[in-house]
Parts: sequence; C-alpha cells; structure tokens
Amino acid sequence: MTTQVYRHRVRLITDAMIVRGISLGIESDKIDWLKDLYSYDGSEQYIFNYLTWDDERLTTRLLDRDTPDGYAKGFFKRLAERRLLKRIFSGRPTDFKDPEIRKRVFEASDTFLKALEEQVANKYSFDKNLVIAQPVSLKSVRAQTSEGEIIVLHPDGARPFHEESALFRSIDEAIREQYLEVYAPVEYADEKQKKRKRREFHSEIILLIEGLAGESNVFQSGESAGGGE
Amino acid sequence: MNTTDFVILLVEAAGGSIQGRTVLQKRAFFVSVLSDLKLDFRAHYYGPFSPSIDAAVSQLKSLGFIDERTIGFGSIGTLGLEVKRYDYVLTDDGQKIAGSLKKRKKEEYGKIVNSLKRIEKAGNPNYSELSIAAKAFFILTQKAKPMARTEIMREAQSFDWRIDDSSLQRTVSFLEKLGLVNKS
Repeated sequence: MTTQVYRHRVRLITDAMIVRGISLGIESDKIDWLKDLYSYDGSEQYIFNYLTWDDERLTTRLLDRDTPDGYAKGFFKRLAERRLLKRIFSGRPTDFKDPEIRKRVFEASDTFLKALEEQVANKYSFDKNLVIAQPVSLKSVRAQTSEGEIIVLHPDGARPFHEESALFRSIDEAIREQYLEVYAPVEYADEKQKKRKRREFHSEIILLIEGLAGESNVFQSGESAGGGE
Repeated sequence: MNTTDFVILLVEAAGGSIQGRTVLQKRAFFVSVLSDLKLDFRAHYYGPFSPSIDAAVSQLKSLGFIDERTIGFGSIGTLGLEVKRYDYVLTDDGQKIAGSLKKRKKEEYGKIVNSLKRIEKAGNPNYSELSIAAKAFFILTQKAKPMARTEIMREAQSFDWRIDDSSLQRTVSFLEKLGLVNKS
C-alpha cells in the first residue's frame, strides 16, 4: 500500500500539482471563490460553503471557461490532460556525503525549497512556479508504533505486527528512507533522451543543492524545539 | 532550536548514547521541563510522549546521524513477547553534527547538560521509575493543584496508567529533589 500508493511517483506529482495549483490560484491568480474556499474563518457560513464542494466541483469550476487563464487553471488542465510534471531529481540522504549538508538539505526549510526551485528554473529556463521541490518521507510501521508495539495474535502467541507481516517486514527498511524530489514541466523526445537528461539533471541538481547548502541564510529558520517537525 | 537539534544534543549530553526508547522520551520530558524548552508532550502508553521527538529520532536515523540498536534480553514479557530494548547511539556523522551544534548552540546545550546532571543527582532512576515520575508530574501539571498520592493514582487510571503507591512514593522523592514538587 505504502510503496504502491502513498509513495508512488505519479501520486506524489499529482498531489504536489494540486497543492501548487490551488496555492497559486489564490496567491497569484487572485481567484476570490478559491480564496474563500481555503481560508477557514471559523464561521458557520464557511462550513456550509465548504460542504457544498467536492473534488469534481472544484475541478469543473477551475476548468470552466469563465475561470480566467492562470496557474490554477493551467495545473488542473495539465492534470485533466495527464500532462504531468516529471520527476527530474530524486536524492537520498546518502547522495550527500557531508553530514552538515545532508542535515541542511533534509531539514528542507521553505526558504531552501523556494531557492532551489528558483535555481532549477533559472538553469533550465522553466517557469519557477512550475518547478516543485519537496521532501518525501514516510514513517515505517515500526516508527508508527512509538514506544509500544502493535501486537497481533498468532497461534503460537502474541507477536509484533512488523515482524509478523511478511509485507511490512520486507519493506520496512526501504520506506524508512527519505528523498528530496524536484518536479518540472519537462518533455522528452524519446527514451534515450529521457535517460540521458535524467542523468544530467541528477548530477547538475546535486551540485545546485550543495551550492545552496553553503549559503547559510537559506537555511535560517526561527523554529523552536517542538515546533512541529 | 528545532527538535532534531534537541535530540542530537540530548544524546550527546548523555554521553553519546541513550539506552531505551522510554528513557529517551522521559529524559527529554524532564530536560524540557527543567530547561523550559517547549516540546509537545501528551499522554501515551508509558507516560508523557512527544511525537516531535519520535519524528526527530526517525529523521536522524534516516539521515544516518543516530543508530538504533535492538538489544534482546532472551526473556519473555507479560504479553508473551521477547523483552527488547532500543538503544540510540550517535554515529560518526552524528558526532560531527553534535560537535558543530555544541559550538553554535552553547546556551541550549549548557541547559541540557545541567538538566541531565540534576536528574542524575536526584537519583537517576531507571526507565520504570522515570516513567512513573513523568506520569505523576504530568498529572500534577495538568491538574495544576496540590494532590495527594491517592488522587494522583486515581487520576492516572483515566490515562490507563497503573501506578502503585510504593513506586509513587519513591518517585515523589525524585521529583522533590529536582525541585519540581513540594511535599506538605
């Protein structure tokens, strides 16, 4: 379930596109009804309005000819036509040998992600709003059990769930990994070009990230201990 | 200071390793109380538990800064499972990060070190007593009023925590030594 659904490449990209499309629809396109829908004000009126919306209504309204062209409509058009952004970079912690750089990269502050999106956009001449950098991590079953264990009953007695389940036992270690991913509106002419470009993207973006990691101002955050990491 | 930095400095201040998941959570709880650091502890199976600390430990393991070692004791617990302990040790990379954090966050690190020293001086209880002390103090903080031992034990039941009188008596003395409670 985790690897096939929650961490599936297409699911991660489409989720990121939906979020970016809606955010830009509010911040950049200034669509009033979208802002009202996503600005919870605690009123009953808000709740009543919110309950009248579902995925289908949102998509139809954004794609409607009355909705002005802009980022929100553009992202949802891409989704409807399945012209998804492509994953042009996926980096693991082990890709960054220097522990200080690794730490900074995977703390993934908003400032850092924004700066990375801008640098990638500049380097490859993309619209910076169409470049999405995000950390991807999922807790393993073991991690989700916190201090205690999830216990399952077995004919031979009680056993921890993560040891009993063949599926979770095998993927537990793998899904503990986290990644930093970058999605962008790239098109490939063929498989050969795709392979070559992906290799280039990977090595070049690693260098961009390491360069950014040296700029301490990109990583400053005012987060206090316990500040919802 | 973010939570991952706090966990690295906590393990470093404890000598580079902490034995047991519960000990890590409960030491973090008392250090946060004694150092006035705001961490999001809530009632859990073994007393106050911080999901942020838990997430930070997972993050640090994933980044290769902390190693989680499972120690099996070969004995069977009440649930029919082998009794195990999860120990947390700073890796070489983790020690490098700790070294630079100690320089950059001198004041916070000093507070963590002092808090751990106070815990040690107050008796350095084992995981079980530390857990009971954390539960008792959590209840007293939640209720924000003086409470008799019997009241604390009754209140503990509402969190599904079992605390017996003799353990509570010992942990009250620990809390007194830390200056967190007064007996009257």
